[in-house]
Amino acid sequence: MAGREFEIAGYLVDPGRPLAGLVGGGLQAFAARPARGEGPAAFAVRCRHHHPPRVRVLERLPEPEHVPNLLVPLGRGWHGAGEEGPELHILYALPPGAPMMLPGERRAPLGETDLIQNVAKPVARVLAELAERGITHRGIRPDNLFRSKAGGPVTVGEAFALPPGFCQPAAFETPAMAMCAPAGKGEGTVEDDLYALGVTLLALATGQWPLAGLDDRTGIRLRLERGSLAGLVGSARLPASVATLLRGLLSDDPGFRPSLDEIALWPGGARARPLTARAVRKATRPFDFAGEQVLDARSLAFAMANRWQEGVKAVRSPALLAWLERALTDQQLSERVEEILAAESIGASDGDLLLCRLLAALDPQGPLWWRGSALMPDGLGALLAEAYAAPVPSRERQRDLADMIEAQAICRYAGEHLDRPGMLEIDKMGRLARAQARARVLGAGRERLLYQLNPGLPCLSPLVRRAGATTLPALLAALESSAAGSPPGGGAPTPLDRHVAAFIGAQMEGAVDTLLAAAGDADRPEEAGLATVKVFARLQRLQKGPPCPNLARWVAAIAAPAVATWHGKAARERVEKALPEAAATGDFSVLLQVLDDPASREADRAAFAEAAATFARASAAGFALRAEAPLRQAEAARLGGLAAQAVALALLGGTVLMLAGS
Amino acid sequence: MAKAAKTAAGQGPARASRKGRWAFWAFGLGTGIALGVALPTGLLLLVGLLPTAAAFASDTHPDKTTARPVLYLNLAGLLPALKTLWLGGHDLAALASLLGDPWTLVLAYGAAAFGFALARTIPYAVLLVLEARAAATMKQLADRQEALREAWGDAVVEEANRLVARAAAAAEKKAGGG
Repeated sequence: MAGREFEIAGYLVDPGRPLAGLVGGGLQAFAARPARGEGPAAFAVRCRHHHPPRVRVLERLPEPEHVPNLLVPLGRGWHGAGEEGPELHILYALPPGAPMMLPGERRAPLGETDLIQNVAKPVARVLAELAERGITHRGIRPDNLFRSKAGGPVTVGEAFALPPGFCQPAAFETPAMAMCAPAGKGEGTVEDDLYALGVTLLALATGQWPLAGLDDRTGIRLRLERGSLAGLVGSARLPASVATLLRGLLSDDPGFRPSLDEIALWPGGARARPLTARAVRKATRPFDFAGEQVLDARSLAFAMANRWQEGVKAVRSPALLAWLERALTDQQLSERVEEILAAESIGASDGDLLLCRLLAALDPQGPLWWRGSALMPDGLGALLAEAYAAPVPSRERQRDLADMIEAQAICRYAGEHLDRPGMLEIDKMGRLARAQARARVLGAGRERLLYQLNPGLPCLSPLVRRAGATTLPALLAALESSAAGSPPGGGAPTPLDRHVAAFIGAQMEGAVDTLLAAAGDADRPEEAGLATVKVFARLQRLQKGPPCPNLARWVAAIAAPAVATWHGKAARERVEKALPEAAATGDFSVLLQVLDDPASREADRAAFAEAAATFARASAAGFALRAEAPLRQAEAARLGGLAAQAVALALLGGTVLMLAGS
Repeated sequence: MAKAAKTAAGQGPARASRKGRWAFWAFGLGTGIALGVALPTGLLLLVGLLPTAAAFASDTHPDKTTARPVLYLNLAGLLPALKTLWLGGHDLAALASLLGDPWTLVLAYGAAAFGFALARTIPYAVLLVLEARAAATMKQLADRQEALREAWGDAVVEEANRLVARAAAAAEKKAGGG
């Protein structure tokens, strides 16, 4: 396939011409040109299934003319066929120039004016435009800002082909975000983008990549211990206006970061109020956690989270409470930790949840930690996709996430951070996720949760995985292809397996949940078969799908037991005869009409009820006849006696007449 | 109270007993009158109607369903002898001649026996007819049920049983409530 152009959204993409430096996260970008007429030179980003693009964000992005300094997708489409099926390609216009700075690179520092006017303000305008639509960018970093050699305002690169913040280096994320797994950062807030802008400005102002030479963990710990501003800026000398701006942007408290309006008016707005950050509370003596000396609560949480098993052991240590109370002198935190320990000791809760809650209390800005891995709760969807949709799915990761959902860690996390915005929604999400993950009926469960949280994820059923179906029409088409095989679906018992059912349930937003549950009821195959037909009939009707004769034949075979739901033998024979013909049309509504025509069904029911009543009446009459045998004997005796008297009397009369006449 | 119940319960048989006694005395009185007024006829009746007397004495049915046919046919069997007696002078000699003829009593007693046989066989014949009609009806019902089972399968039997059970439960509930 390499080198052979294909068309996506009116552009010809050349997979033989990969372009470097346009997109991160290990994605590939290819050169593209307009297929017809004129248009800007473009590039196409090939997405990955297991790191799904931000579909909900893509649908809400502003038109390019509203955000001239942002690479907005020109279009998207699916292409490719292989083990993983077609992949989504997102088209962008080529940026005006090269990236401002590449990772690890050293460059000449930008001037203060250039930095404010051509970097800070254009990026703030882009963020403001996105914020109006409730969108974050989550890809603000020097190698994702582009401008031509002639200078001028920068253009912000793409950040929608991967989960939010996936490509962001740890240094460009707040410490809490940097702790998270790349796919589990969640959408975040505009404050996260502002922090990234601050680090970006710092990099461009100093001409050095921040925290270069330090691994992510060390960089995070440095910022936790010293605060982000001190940790990132170090001893670098910065222009006064930039320094003021960075003091706000790199504040560890999001509330201290300047607003987008302030940046747009910078430096005019900067003097309106002082921007400063609270100092990190330090203990009078270090806490020795497994040989690691920590002086503040957030660093302790980070250390314990990174050495999970030792953390689980250390969590009940009296030394911890003593240190919090006496060395850190944080009475409120000490009491809260004590409460958590007391509450958890009542039940036989496992150490994972206890440590999870404790870490949430120790680090109020921190992520949700579970078995050494961190995430922001709204990043759960992308993490599930990574665990389930990867070419080699990780069973261990799946189990960890399932355990975390089951333990209600998300709700507990939200409960510890009720002062943070959106935590009530997170709590609700955690409860819903647990309820969904626990559900065992077809169309629900972990699979449903996976598709609900990842609207762009293709259906992962083995039946259609290679087709990469992300929509219901595509799913129907893929199932039709799968059903064309011999045996249909490669011998799968039903086209409505757990993944297909969950995908349909998520796409139809609960409209067919009852039918899906009935279709999965193995104890009632006749109802299950009928429900399966109903699901596909509704799907085909709503999606105005083409005929699917192969799938219909497969479904008809599954629905064969449903013939038994007809009461009348004649009706059953009629349905049995009509079923193959209806299946051959490929129209599920015809199939359903044959199997479950309401008028015929009602007539069948009424006739059956009448037949049963007649049968019952006949039984009752038979019983009555048998019970009346003594009555018949008495009647026979009465009638027989009368008849004998009548006959005798007649003979007597006859004799009298005969004798009288002779 | 118990005494009253006992008295009420004893009224039926007592009435039957009184009626039997009355019949006995009426029969004796009739025979006495017959013997007094028309001795040969009375003697002929006395001898000839012995099966009837026996039948009335042994028939416990309130309507005397056996004794009556015996009476009618016994009388019919005795009528030729009565006619001969009355037309032959109506004296004891004629009576002796008649009673000396074995056919006189054979005819009277044979007719009484026929009457007895009629009274005993006709009810059985009627019972046979009634049972045959009931059997035919039951066969019709069974055929109908079989046809229903053929058309609707065993489910119709289950549903019918359910209906019967439901009706029985409702009747039981109604009876309990009443």
